[in-house]
Amino acid sequence: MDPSCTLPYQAAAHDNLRHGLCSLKEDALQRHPVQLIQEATAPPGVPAANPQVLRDLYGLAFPARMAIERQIMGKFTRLPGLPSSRLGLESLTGELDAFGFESYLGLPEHSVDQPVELHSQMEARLGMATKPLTRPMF
Amino acid sequence: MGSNAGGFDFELVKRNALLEAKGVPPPRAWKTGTTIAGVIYKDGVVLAADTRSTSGSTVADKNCEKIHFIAPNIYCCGAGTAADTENVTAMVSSHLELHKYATGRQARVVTAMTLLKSHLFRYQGHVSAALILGGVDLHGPHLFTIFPHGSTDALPYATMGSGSLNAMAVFEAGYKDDMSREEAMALAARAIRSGVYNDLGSGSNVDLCIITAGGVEYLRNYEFLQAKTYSRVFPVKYPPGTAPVLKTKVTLSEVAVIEGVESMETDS
Repeated sequence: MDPSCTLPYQAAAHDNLRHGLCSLKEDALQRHPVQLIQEATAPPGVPAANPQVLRDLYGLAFPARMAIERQIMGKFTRLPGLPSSRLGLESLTGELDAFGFESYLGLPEHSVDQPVELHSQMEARLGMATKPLTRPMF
Repeated sequence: MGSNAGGFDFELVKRNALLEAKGVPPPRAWKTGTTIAGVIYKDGVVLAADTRSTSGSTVADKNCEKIHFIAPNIYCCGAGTAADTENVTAMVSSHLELHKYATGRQARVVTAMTLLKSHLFRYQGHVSAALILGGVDLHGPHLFTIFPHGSTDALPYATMGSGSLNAMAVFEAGYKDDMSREEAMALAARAIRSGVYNDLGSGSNVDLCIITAGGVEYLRNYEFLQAKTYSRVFPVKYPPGTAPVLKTKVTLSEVAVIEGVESMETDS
């Protein structure tokens, strides 16, 4: 049986007012296999940064430096919910030259849903709420 | 082009699973139950495809296009789910265009092949596209087959789709090394014709695409096999004499007097 198909472990109290009624059965339903694949694997087209290969080719320090740079570049984002360009990170990983389904399908600017409000996302990030709102409050 | 947050939307998966459990099956995708083929000849590659797409046991399109553009020197035949083959080839085409801007060089066929196979392998057969990739680059003509789960083959002649056995039989009987352009075109068209006439998933017409170092010749409906026997013409023009004239009378006066009543025709 798929391990993701078990009942979720409810660690914190559920906030009905903010997140809607609690439905454990819905959370336990089978997810789409493609969704699981997308979460588990990196998008294709990005050159595989195998650290051992890089170490053999360019010396010990190179992959370590790349990892540090990736960490630094990954930190520069806008507030949650606002689009971050991540240009530095993408040029570092080679993602700038990649083109996949995520580049033209279901883009956030084509979405008809209201974006999740910034306030609740900041609360979730700062540990004041368990998770951001799932639906707009107004 | 970074991957900035877009992608597939899985919002309706739970609803669809519920509907299916309640006995409402989801609609079926169009499939190209197909014969596609490719063959290498002296100066290039010939790609060929039939033009039928089916939805279950129904023919959904009698003259669809199965040879897709990848790059000016690379084309690709697709079998499987029609939307998947079209979108995967279009996506790889865009990726190669970006690659061309980055490197300033003509795209190689192996690059397209690697992009396609890594994409298909990642999705483990959920993107159902069986492809024949052909093109000419600085290393000469190349032909690859790519299976839906991401395995590939490099071959001098290749077939794919439900009619692949029919087409392969023709290739096995008729292939020889260093064919001329006309021989290769005739052999590829014959292979597709064998699929069209003997495989129920394939049908209609034959498309050809000839790729050489000098350029590409795309021959849509190279053989128009299954034209309609009767096509409606509108407005209808009746030839003179269609309706028999029983009686004419020409009068010069303004008031025409018609004498006598024509009796009805009976078998007396």
